[in-house]
Amino acid sequence: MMPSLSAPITDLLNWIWLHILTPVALAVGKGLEVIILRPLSEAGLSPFGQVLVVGMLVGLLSMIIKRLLKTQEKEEAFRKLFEKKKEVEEGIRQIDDWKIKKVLYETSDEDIDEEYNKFISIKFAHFGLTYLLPIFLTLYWLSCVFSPEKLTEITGSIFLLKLPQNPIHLPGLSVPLTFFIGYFSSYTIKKTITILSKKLKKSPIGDLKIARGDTK
Amino acid sequence: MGKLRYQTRMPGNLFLAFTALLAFVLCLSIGANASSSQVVAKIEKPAYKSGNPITITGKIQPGQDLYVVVCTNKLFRPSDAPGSEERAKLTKLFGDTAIPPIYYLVTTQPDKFATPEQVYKGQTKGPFAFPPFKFAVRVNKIKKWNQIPDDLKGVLGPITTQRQWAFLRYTHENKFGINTITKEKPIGGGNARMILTDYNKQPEAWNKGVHITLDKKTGEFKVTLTPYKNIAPNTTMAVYVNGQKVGTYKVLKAGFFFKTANTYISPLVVFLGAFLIGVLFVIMGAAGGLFTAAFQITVIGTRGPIGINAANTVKPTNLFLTLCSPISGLINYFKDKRFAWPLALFFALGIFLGAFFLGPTLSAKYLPMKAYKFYLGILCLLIGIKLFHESLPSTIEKKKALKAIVQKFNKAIEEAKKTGKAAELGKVEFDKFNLIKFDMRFWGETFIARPLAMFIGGVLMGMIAASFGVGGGFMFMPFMTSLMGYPMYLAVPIALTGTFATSVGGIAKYILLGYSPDWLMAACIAGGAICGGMVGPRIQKRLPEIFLKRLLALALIIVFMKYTKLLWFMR
Repeated sequence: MMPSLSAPITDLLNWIWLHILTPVALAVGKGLEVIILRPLSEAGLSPFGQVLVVGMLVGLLSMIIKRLLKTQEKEEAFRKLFEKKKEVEEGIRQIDDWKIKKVLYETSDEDIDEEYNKFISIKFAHFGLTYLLPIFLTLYWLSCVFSPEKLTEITGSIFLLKLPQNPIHLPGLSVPLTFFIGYFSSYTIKKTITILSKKLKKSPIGDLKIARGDTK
Repeated sequence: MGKLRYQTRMPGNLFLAFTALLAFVLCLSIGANASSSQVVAKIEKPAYKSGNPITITGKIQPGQDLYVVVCTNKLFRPSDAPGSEERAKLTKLFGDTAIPPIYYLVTTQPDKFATPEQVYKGQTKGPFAFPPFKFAVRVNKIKKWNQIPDDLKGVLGPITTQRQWAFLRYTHENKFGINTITKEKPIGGGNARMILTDYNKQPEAWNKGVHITLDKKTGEFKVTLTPYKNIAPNTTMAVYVNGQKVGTYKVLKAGFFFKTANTYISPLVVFLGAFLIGVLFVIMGAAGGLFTAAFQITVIGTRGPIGINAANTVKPTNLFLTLCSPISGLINYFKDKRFAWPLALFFALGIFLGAFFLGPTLSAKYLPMKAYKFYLGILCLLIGIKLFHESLPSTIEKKKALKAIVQKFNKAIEEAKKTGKAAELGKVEFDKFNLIKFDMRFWGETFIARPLAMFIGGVLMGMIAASFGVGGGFMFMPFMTSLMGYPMYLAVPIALTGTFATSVGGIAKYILLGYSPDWLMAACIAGGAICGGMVGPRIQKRLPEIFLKRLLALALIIVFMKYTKLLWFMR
């Protein structure tokens, strides 16, 4: 793009970002600091503990978003629709008149392709909304709150937790690394609870509870 | 007393001559100090927007030449480098030498410090060290410390030693130094700007925008230059005139500054660019990772923080984004029991090991921005050719036939699931496990499983994919279908496992090495790509697929030409 043309567009985009989106983002960031980090800090948690808890909370948020978006239900609905359309296509194959068969088959094929692409894009969007955006935005927020300068002030290094000499030469736990430990811990906890509850249901005590109607 | 007596006995004219000589020697010694005490200079403003021209006016001793240094006030030492590989390399080369990462010397005597000459740049060594990849370019070759007149070594501002000067030369003439410390794009594929003079006196590309007026009779001068456009906001810049520090100025932000990517660009521009990539990716179903990498390098201009090579910021950001597609697909394949685990396990393990232990380490060390861009360009060419091939009518027909086979297989799975046979059919069966070769039954078919070959292939491909910060799907599929001879329905889930292993292994290692993505940029790219991915299929029907594929192939070939600096106007 010519510089003379791109300059006003860039200026406009910069204006939207700086005057509309940035104040909102700053307010959200400050709000999150007050709601989440301050209580954790007052509870005596170190920055490492705070980031770990934030990671776990974001993991929980991903689970909630997944449930809200009804990803699994939509996937199931698509499968049914896809099967139905395939059945129609199979029916078209039985037509004797090859001209009609060709036209109908091509239309049906295009239709299936379109449905499939729509499904893939929605799946990609759900994936991004569920996992990527919460992770990226939270890490950006954390990198602003626990900037290397601030961490050096608090912990004396750019790490949340300095590690002693170790075989993998890892000098310390950084903000992203601690965040992901917290994030995946939440999924591990969820999985453990699911397995335990399943086992409990299968066990004689569980059966007894089910028999009593006491499933909760 | 005797001495006094001797003095008083000196003839009057001899005493006068002695006093005059003493005064003359004293004057000379003061003058030799480059008249630093007689410099009066003013920086026009206390703060400048990044990328805007700065002006310095003042007065030096009449008859003298002018030497103005504009540099960052804070010095950088190799031990400050956040990237482990960069820290090790720079410390090995320059120890604890401190230099300003941004440094310009604007002078009326540029030939005392540098000589304009033609040198070979581009691929000067390695398998591609031949024209047009190796090309001649005019640069301002910086002189060595011992070639600079001794009386001028005091006018270089914070640079006072040979080691510092050598480090500065490295950060302006060596591509690794430029992309790791200076960050300013070299002129015409040559060197980064350092020794500058008035453009009208020396009309060379690097002097564009530099104006010097010096009245030698009065010593009055005016200097205007435009420093690098991506200097971080609030950076303090120092100005030295003829060796004397005359003041500092602050750099003001010029739009939104991405701290890790080290560039000014509106996040909305990033979002819109990623939107376009999302649309293309969904329509084409390929080259998403490559386009995102090219987008980060060329459009956004990701430079990375000072002390981290630009490529080591692009690669982890890209790997995070390539993590998008495989996870959800993988879960479904796993649920459908579509994993031929003896193959998937060895392949994924190989890829993970290659992506974790070899790719990022070798890449951070041997694939800095210059090499990264070049080989990324070669990959773009290969995928461009592949896309063009895919747009040919014969390939489209073949693909449809293949698609039909896969659909038939998918239908069989659905049938099997309905009748409850899925678990039985999805079971992998073999008589005797052998690391080299054994027969394996899966979904009613018998295949030859080669776990060791899959493992070795995985290590190699994982290393390459993680080195480039891409998923690697473009390598996995041809490897399994062409080299290993597996059908598509067997290969796709394994390839997805491979992409997932590359992303996880690569990301883990890059983070451990101290390389982090620019999180906000990653969020903007992901957000844009999500929206583009949603719009793509809706407009796809209205767009001619063959034309689009060819257009994309052409775009990839242009990227190849740009990154390999094939044509002079692209350098």
